[in-house]
Amino acid sequence: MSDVVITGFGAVTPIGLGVEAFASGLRSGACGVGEIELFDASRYRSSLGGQILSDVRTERARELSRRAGVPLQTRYGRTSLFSLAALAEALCMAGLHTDDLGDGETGLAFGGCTAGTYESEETLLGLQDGQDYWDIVPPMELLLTPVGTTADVLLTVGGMRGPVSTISTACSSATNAIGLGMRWIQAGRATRVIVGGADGLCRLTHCGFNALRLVSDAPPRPFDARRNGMVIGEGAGVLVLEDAARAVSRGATIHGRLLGFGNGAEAHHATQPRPDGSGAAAAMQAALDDAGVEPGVVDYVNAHGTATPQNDLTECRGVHLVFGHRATGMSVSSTKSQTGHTLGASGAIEMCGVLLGMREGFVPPTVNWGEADPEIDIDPVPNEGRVGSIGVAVSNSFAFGGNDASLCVAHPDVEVGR
Amino acid sequence: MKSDPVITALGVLSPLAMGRAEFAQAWRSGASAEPVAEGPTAGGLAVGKFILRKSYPEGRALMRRMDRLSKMICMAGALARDDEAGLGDVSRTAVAVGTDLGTLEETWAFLCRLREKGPELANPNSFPNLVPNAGAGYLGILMKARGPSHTFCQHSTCADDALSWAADGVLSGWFDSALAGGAEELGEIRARAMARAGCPISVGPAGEGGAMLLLESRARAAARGAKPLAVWSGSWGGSGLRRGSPLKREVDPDEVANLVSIAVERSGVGPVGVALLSHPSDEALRDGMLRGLGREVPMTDHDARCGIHPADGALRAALATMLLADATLPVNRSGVNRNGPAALLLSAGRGGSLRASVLSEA
Repeated sequence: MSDVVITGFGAVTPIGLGVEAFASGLRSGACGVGEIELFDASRYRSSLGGQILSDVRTERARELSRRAGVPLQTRYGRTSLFSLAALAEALCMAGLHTDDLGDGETGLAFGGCTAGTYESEETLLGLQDGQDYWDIVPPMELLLTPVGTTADVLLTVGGMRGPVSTISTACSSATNAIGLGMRWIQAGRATRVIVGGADGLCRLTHCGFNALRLVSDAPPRPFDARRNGMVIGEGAGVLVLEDAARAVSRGATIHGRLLGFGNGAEAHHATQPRPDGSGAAAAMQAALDDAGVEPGVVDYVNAHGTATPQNDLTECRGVHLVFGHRATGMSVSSTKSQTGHTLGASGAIEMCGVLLGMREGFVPPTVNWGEADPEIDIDPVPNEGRVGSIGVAVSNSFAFGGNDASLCVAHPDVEVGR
Repeated sequence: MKSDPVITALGVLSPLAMGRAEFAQAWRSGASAEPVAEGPTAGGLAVGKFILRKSYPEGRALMRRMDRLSKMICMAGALARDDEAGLGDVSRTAVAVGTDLGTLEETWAFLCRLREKGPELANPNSFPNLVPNAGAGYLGILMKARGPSHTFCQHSTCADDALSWAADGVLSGWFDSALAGGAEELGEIRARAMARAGCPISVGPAGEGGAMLLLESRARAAARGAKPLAVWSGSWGGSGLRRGSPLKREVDPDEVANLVSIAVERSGVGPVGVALLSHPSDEALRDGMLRGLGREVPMTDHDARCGIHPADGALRAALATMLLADATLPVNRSGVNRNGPAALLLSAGRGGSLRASVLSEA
C-alpha cells in the first residue's frame, strides 16, 4: 500500500488570503468574524459571519495564478473563485503547473455544500413584482447550483484525467474528500490527487443554522463556558496529495505525511451528536488505527469545535475516550473561532492550519476564549498561537446526518505509523 | 487472500416496479413505466406510491421530519433488507449514497419561504434535510448502521462513485459490507430547471427512483449463507471532458475508449456481454464504449422504460446484477440476451467525470 504525502496546499480564509497570511492570522489569534456584508443579515438571530471581504484576486494570487496556469475566473461564482485561488497556491507550492495534471494519474476529490447557491439566491430574492424566476434566471446560473459544479470548474482548469468525485457530507465534506484521495492513492487508482473543499456564504446556510438556533450573536467561543453557538464562515482549502515514491522521485518538498483516515456514522440523530462522545471517539480511533499510531504520540487535535454547547462537550468526551488521562492538558484547539465554520471547506482549511503549525512550530489557538468550562478539561490553547512543535496531529470534522470523520497527519521528519 | 466483493441483495424503487422480483418480472415482460400525465413533470417517469413506515415501524417519529428523497433512499434500503438474502448484521456496515441534485425541491421551498416570509419563519425542521447526506444519515439511523458513510454528488457518476467506493472499501478490508447505491427525485423544480436549460423533461425521458445494493466480502456472504448474485469486479474513474466546457456533458470518445479498455483489462473478467450506459443515446459515449470493448454488445433500454436521472447508476448496477444472476432475463425489449459473463456500467457526468465499472457472474 502506497504512503501518501502532502506536497502543496493553498487556503482562502476570512483571516488570510493565502497560506502565509493564514499562518500569520492563526499565530496571532486573529478573528475573521464580523457583520455580514454580502447580504442583509439584520433580520436574523445573528448577523455575524466569517466573510471574505476583499477580492481574492490579490497581486500575489494573480502571480500564483499565472505560474500555475489557473485562471481566476469569476463567472462561475464566489465558491469556485475561492477554490481556484486555493488551487493555484497549492500547485505552486507543490512545484506543479496544470500542464502536469493531465497525465491520467492525477485525480480530483472535492467537498462542499453550497456551490453556486448564493448566486441563485441573488436572482430569486431580487425578483421584482410580477417577475417569474423561471423567465429570467440565466440557464448558466441553474447549472452552477449543484454541489458538483465546483469540481467541474477545477477539472476544466486543471485538466485532471484520473478519477473525479465530489463528496457532500455537510461539515465533514472536505475531510472525507481528503480521505477519499488518500484511499485512491493507497489503492493504486491514482498517484496524485487534488483534494479539498470550498463553500461560500449564502442565506440558505446562514438562515438554516439560525432557524435551528445554533448560531451565536457574538464571535464564536469554542470550549468556553459561555459558548452559545457557531458563526458561519466561507473559504476554500486545496491540498496536493501524492504517492510518496512519486513525490520523492520528482524532488518535491513534503509538508506532511497523511497517515490515517477514519469515518463513521453515529446512527443516532439527524443533527445531534451522541451525548457520550462515542461517535467522535470512534472516528478518531479509526484514524489512529488506520495510521498505525498509538494515541500517546499525538501532540495536537484540531477540533471540530463549532462552539455549540453540545458539540464541544461531546467532542471533549470523545477526546477523553481516545486519549485517556493524556486528554487533560492536551492541546485541542478550534480554529473555527478564527475563521467561522466554513462548512464543507472546513476540513481542508483546518488541515492547512495543522500543516502550517507543523511547519512553523506553533500550535493554532482557540480565540475568544475566556472562561473555562469545568466539564471541558482539555487545553484549548487560549487566544494566541503557542510556540511548540507538532509531530503528529488529528483533525476532526463532524456533520449533520451523524457523519464523523478524522484524519491523522504527521510532520515529514517524524517517523511514526505504518 | 483478498477477493472481489459480491452483491448479495438489492432493493429497487423504480417507476417500472418496486422490489427485485417485481422489477425482474416487469423487465422480462417488456413493460415500460407510464409517463406522468399532467403538471410540471408531465412526460417524466415517476415511482409509484410507497409507504415507508411499514418497512420501519419503529422509525415513525423520525419519518415525520424526512424529505421525499431521504424516504426513497430508505425505502430502497428496506427493499434490499427484505430481499432474499437479507443484509445480515449491519451494525458495522458502510453506507454510500449517490445523488446529484439532493433535496432540490425542499431546498427551493426553503428559499421561497425565506423570500416570502422572512428569516424569522424559516422552518428549522426542514433545514437538516437540505444537506445531500441527509438520506444516508437517516438510513444509518433506521438500520442502526454505524460503519463509514459517504454521499457522492458528481452529477451522473454519483451513484457509480458510491458503489465503487463501497467495493474498494470491502476489497481493502476497511469494512466487510456496504449498502450502496443512489437516488434522485423528479419534481417541479427539476422539471422547470431542465426546461429553462433547454432540455424538456419529456425528452429522454427524465425519471426518478433509487436502488441500494449490498456489497460484501465473500467470507461474510459465506458465513451467513447468502448466495452471491454477481461479483463487483472493478471500477475505474476518469475524466472525459473536452476542455473548456465545465457545465456541459460533452465527452471525448477517445477518453471513454481508453477508460473502458482499462476497466475491462484490470477487472480480469470477460468478455463483456451487456452494456448499461448513463446516456444510451449519446453517440460519443457509445462510440467510445464500442472502441474500448472492441466488440458489439447489446445495450439495455432502461432509459426509455425507467427514465434517466443522475443517480440511475444504482438502478443500472441492480439491473446488471439481475442480468448476471439470470441469463434468461432479456437485455432489452428486443428480447436479446447478454452474450458474455460480464456487464459494463458506463457513466458520464456533466463536467466530464467518467466511470466504468465491470460486474461479472458469481
